[in-house]
Amino acid sequence: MNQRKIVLVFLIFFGTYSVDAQVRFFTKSGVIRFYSKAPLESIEAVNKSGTCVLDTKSGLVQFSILMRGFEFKKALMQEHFNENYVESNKFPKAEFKGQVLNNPTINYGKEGSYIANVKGRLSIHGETKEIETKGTVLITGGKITINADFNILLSDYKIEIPSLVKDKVSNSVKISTSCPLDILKS
Amino acid sequence: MKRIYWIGVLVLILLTAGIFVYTEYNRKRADSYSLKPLFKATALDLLKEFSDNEQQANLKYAGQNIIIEVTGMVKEVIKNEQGNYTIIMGDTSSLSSVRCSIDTLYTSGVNNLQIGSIATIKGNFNGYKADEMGIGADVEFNFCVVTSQAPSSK
Repeated sequence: MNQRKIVLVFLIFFGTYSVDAQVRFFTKSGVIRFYSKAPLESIEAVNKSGTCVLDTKSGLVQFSILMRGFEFKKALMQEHFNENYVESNKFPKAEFKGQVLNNPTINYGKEGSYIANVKGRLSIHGETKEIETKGTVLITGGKITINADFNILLSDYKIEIPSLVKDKVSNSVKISTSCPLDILKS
Repeated sequence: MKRIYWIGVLVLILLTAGIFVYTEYNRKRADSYSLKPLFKATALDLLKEFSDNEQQANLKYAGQNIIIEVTGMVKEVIKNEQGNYTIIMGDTSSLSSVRCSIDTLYTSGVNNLQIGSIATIKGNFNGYKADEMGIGADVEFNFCVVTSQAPSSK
């Protein structure tokens, strides 16, 4: 009986310890979508190769995506996006470096869904702006998934909309991220 | 009579322009399987090319719709929650890899790829991510198709 108790305590301790003790988690298959509602036609695209690293101890979080990795339904839209809007040859990457402000309130060792207040610097098209948003940290089955939705303005990143379609393309773009993270073994 | 002729020509021009604009606007991307690669390389050579001189390699592969055929050892096959496949190729002892996001039209057989086997994949080159986070550098592709697979020679 005593042996059983010891095994149970051991399992409980290491069951929670396995997530809690690990410090860095990452993915290279994060899904990043953007959506822009416009009178003529809504524009949406998905990038399935987002890199994300989360340090659960410090709350530091970092994202990186290649702009050419965005997939559109229409080829012409994808070409215009890369050539005329984000100029992906000149500015191939978008990056976010930030901090989970309420990191101490997130118990990475306990299953649940936690609100994460994130603040950091987002760089797109060679321009860097400070952004603050709310995301969720989902801990289930020993895995961490981070999700966040936020809006950006194209004008903040000096992404110019050609005057011909200025009234038909929205300046506001909604970005959604979903990153299931794995333990980073060092 | 001459007037009718010119009106006819004008209508024909407008109709042709309209059809062109409509087709171009709704054009889908070219079928990945039928695209001819502009470059061929091994996964290890491609990674080395970028780590040796990223700027020069970026210039070499600059542009849109650059199709590269890559041959290398399959390190991992990932299927995400949405059912999309990514094949990771390269040296198993290194964190750096060539990552190929598989075209959703050509996923059949991807699940059967053997880890350690040698695969040849062609896809749309997206770029290079240098190792800035301590998790390895990556050369990334999307709309990939597996063109051949052979057992490892090791």
